[in-house]
Amino acid sequence: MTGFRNRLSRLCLLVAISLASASQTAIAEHDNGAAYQHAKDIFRSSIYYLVDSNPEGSLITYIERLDHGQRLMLLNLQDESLQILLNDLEGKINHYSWIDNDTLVLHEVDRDYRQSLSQLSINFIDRQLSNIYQRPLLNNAVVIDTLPYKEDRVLVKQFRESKSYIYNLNLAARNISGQLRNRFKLNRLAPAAEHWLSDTSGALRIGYVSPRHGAKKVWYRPQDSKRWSIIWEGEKRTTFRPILFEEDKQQILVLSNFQRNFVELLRFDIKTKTFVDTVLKIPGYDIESVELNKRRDDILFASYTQDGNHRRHYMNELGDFLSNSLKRDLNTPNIWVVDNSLNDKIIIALKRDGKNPGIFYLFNTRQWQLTELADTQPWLKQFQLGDTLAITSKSSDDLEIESYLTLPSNHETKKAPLIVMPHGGPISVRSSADYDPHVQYLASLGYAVLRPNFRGSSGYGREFIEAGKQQWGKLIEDDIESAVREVIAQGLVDGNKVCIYGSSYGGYSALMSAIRSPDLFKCAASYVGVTDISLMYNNDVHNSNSILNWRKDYVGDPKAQQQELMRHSPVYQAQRLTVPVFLAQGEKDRVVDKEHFYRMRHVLEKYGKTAEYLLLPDEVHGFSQLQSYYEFYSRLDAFFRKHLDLPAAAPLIQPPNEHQVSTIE
Amino acid sequence: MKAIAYLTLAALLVLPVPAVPAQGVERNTEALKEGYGYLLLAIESLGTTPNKILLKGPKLFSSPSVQSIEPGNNYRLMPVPAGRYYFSQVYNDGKKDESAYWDILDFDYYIDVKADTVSYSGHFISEMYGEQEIDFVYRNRSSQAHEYLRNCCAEILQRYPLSFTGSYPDPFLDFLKLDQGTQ
Repeated sequence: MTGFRNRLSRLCLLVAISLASASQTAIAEHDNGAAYQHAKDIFRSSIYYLVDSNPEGSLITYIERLDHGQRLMLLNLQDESLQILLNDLEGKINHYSWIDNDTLVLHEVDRDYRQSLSQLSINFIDRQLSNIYQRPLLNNAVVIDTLPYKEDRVLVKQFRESKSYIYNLNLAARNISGQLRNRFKLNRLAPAAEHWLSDTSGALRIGYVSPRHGAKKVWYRPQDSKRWSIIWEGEKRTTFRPILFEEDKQQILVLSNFQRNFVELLRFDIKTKTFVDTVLKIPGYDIESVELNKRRDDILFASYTQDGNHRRHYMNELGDFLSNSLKRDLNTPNIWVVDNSLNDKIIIALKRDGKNPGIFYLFNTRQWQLTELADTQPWLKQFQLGDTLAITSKSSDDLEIESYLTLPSNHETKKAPLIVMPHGGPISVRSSADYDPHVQYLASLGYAVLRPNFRGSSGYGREFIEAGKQQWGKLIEDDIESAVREVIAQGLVDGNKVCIYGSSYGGYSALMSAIRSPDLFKCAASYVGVTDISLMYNNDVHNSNSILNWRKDYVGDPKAQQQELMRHSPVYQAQRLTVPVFLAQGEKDRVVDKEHFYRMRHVLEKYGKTAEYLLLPDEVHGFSQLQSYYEFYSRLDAFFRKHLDLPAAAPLIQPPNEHQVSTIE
Repeated sequence: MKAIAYLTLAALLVLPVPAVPAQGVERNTEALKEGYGYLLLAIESLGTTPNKILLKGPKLFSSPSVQSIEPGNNYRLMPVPAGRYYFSQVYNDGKKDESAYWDILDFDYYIDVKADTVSYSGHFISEMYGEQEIDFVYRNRSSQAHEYLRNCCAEILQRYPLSFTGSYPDPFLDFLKLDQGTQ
């Protein structure tokens, strides 16, 4: 273990030096060099991720990111030796699963988005790694169940010609292609389900479709029958997500908000097709997800978000006990179990909060010993990141709105300028107080950042989501304003220096909020934002009826409500803009097409508005390339500084001196 | 099969007709024949450039095809009988296999050409990045179509209004006209 930790210490030093040296060049090359360099530091990806143990808890694997590519590492807990299992220079490994104690299945995705599965077998002689053998398994496939009760067996789903096929592969067999014959397709006679639950033998028993914008359907197959029958059909507003098939009871555990406001964990009886039991409810919160234990026969924990922090409710005594012990030992509520060995000998835990993207810990339950494994982004320690607090405000119709305010480290000596950052969606998406590099980038540059969970956001129950229906530019923006006015009224920020910025719906909201309330906002920035609501109906990839109907319902009907949609579209209201705008777009965005950008630019130029534009040629709906983060965020910071009358950003890391360099050497 | 045969025949018959350059415009600004409108085809080619794209018109002999497609945006403006025109086939670059094409009639990408107008329903976007990643999408970029027409064919635009004829109403072109009127 000490080897791993020593390696990590050396790595931290090297990181510090390389960042500091690079900053010299960046500052020289860019108008806003300090902010550009800072973006390079903050938006770097974690070094360590996908930490997992084999079933018996003797080995731990993880991915280590390199400057070019990554590698799959193996930590042998018996002798604490660390070895490279696989060099992945193209960074193709996307995920992996332990199938048994010496076999992994890797899920790889190449640059052309082709996905494939391969088998990695590890042999040990006298506890020493003697042989690593990799062979391809399937193209266009993913693992759907590791079947812990079946040695060498794994359930996989392969996609072919718009269909998916499920196979129970025997990884000990030499011939894989022979196992893909038509008669071995487990869903050969099954309905067109997208997701599956199996029994302990690996046979498919539950299939379901759960489209976000359409009706849900669930099918069941009895043990000795080939016949599938529908056991649930529900409309789009009702969540019904099967989690676990309870073979002995012929029941399924389901996450659902059927006939209730919040999503709860319920037990559904297949025979009577009724809910028979509430397994878990968290009053006042939706349960967002549940995780099965390594045996896949019980639930390890249920997740929800409270005051912006991700919380986990453990469903077994060991998990609950361990969680409480870890919280006590590490003096934080923000630590949770991310993996456990099949025999519960070892637990991998992650400590993560608003200022920290994650530190992995190993807990040995036999020796009752806790060891730090790795800090995923150690270089962040150099920066003053902001603390986040939950704020509650009352909207124009008295609806209570929860927001998260991240304050820069110097906020006690000086009221900070405020950046309001509405989230995307807007329906069934939310902000949290969890670590977010976009927020911490701005906070470490001296801004306070406010993220309101306006009506329509998820996590607050079905009624709150429905309250966001057809409220683009209306009550949703009232909610955002209520949060802004609340933090100003509480004296937490400088109310004379407020700008608003967001992506996607957040970009739309930034533009509309600036149009609606020029007294409140000094400037507005939109990245990949919707600017013309009517474009959302003629501008989609293979618009499906269910998506179009959902949009008509939740945004508005362009045939019946055209004038209203125009009244709430920035393009048609641009003449009312009185504050400067920064408009940015990814040219390859397939969600919000660049036409939104073109239209807005056209009208802003026509009306002679103060505006800046940035079209990123290779970007999609979001950021896919690190270079885009640097370019966009340094421009954004310069835009805010200009219009909030702030001094230029100063370097956040001091350049290294000779002494530091020679210490490393 | 019969439909395919008809289509092939139709394609062969119309191939020589719109032999226009990459940014081609039929610069005939004379009045349109009765029952005719201008079809504004906008094609964006990303990745491998298609050899040709066929459309299926309201009449057997009125099925235009687009050739000499170049990477990026391609525009074609052609007078055609009013009616509905479907994008029906996209041919590959012709380098490996002459006969490889994709039938896309089921995608339901169409343009309704109205008489005495310039009709536009969207940019047809061909994305071909290797065998695994081929997609054809249809997007309303009427501000770009308007910009193109204004630069290339102001006379036509003055004579015949540019009209968006997609499935859902788009007020943008009317807004531009109204806005220009008030400037």
